[in-house]
Amino acid sequence: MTEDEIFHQLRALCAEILAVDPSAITPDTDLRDELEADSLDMVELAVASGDRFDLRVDFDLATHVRTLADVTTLVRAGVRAG
Amino acid sequence: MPVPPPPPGPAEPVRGRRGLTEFIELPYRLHGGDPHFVPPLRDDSRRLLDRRHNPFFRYGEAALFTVRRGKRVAGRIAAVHNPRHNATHAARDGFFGQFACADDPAVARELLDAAARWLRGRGLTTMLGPVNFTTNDECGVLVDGFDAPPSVMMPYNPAYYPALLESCGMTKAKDLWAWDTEGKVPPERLLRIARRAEHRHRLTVRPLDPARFDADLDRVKLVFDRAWHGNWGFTPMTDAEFAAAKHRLRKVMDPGLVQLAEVDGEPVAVALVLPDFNQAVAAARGRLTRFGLPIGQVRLSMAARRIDRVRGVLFGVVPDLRRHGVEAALLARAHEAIVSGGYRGGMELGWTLEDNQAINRYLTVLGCTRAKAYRIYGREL
Repeated sequence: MTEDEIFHQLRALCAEILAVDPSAITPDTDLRDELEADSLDMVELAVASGDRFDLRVDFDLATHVRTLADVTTLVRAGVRAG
Repeated sequence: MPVPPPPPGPAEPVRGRRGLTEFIELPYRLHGGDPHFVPPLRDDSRRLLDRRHNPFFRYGEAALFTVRRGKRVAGRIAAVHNPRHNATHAARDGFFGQFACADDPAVARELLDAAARWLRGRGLTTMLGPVNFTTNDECGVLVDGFDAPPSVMMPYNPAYYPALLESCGMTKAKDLWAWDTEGKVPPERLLRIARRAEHRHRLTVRPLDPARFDADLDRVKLVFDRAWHGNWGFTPMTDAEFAAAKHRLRKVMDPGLVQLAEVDGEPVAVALVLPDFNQAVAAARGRLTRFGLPIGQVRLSMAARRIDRVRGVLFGVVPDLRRHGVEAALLARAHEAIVSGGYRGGMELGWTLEDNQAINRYLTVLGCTRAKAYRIYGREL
């Protein structure tokens, strides 16, 4: 799966969780500051990403990442490792 | 001129039925006026100390001491030797427990010194406590959160206890935190995460099956032993201890509240939630019978129907599934069961170790707030 494909799938997930228009999310959008995601949203994004890409995405994702580009990098690393 | 109080007597080993009764009665006399003190049922207090009934005594030993001011008992303590703890943790720890004392540093010092001498005599090098008698039982001194009565199977003490113990050279060994799980996060958000986690991990979260109570509790113990393995102070229960715990749980449990999570039929996580039976015990005022009449029993039974709070006693996930949403699924399903069971007074969850950052951080994210802190004190012998 290419980085672009991963990003688009993550963006759809993120838009669903945060109830925003997907077009509002770019790779560098700060999910917390710009889209007001809280820690629980990030937990949901971690669980949803794990489900979508058949990965184990640790809860630490919820506390360390800020942008969808960060999440994409994590997921890509997981897909490669898998 | 006021007469100075008599000096405290030496710590004396508890002997005979009368000595044991004095030992048991002390907390009722000292703390009976405290609105948050929940007097334990005297039968339960006696059974805990009874070598024939308490399975701890099949492998461990304890010595009971009291100290008097004048004729009256002013303090009590148990010195506890738990060889299974020391074998598990490659340690030479001794424990003290059953601590109850007037706000009287001289009495407290006599008690702790007596326990320390007894433990030193067994080659132990550290004294930790209070622990009554294992870390699977009530343990710790309440150091924060004095504004509410204790939940079921949690200790309570007046606010002067921490300073009293510290005046005797006891220092903090570990804090244990209890959490309030009420209301910060809308349940539907937790449920959404729960559904995703259940799908992701092929997780089934279900309540205990009353028709398979024993077998399901055995599955709870499998998770308990795996999830708590290696934790500070944790020693797995013996079969006899677990059988006794099952017997106690059967009396207070609402099976619908307990959530067991399984993957392909294998238990992987548990939320052992109990009605806060202390609400009923408080109504009995320490006795099931008075003047030969079951007055306390009637009060307890009536109050048991009005229990509105719950306690999450165990909340654990096996190591390889931790921090992947399973905790959220457990909490969400537990909340559902609590609401549908008609418990509206909230849930106290705990305890967790203060330095278990992963679970403490996760509970915070899930909307829990720290409600109480209990302290295990220690000193070198």
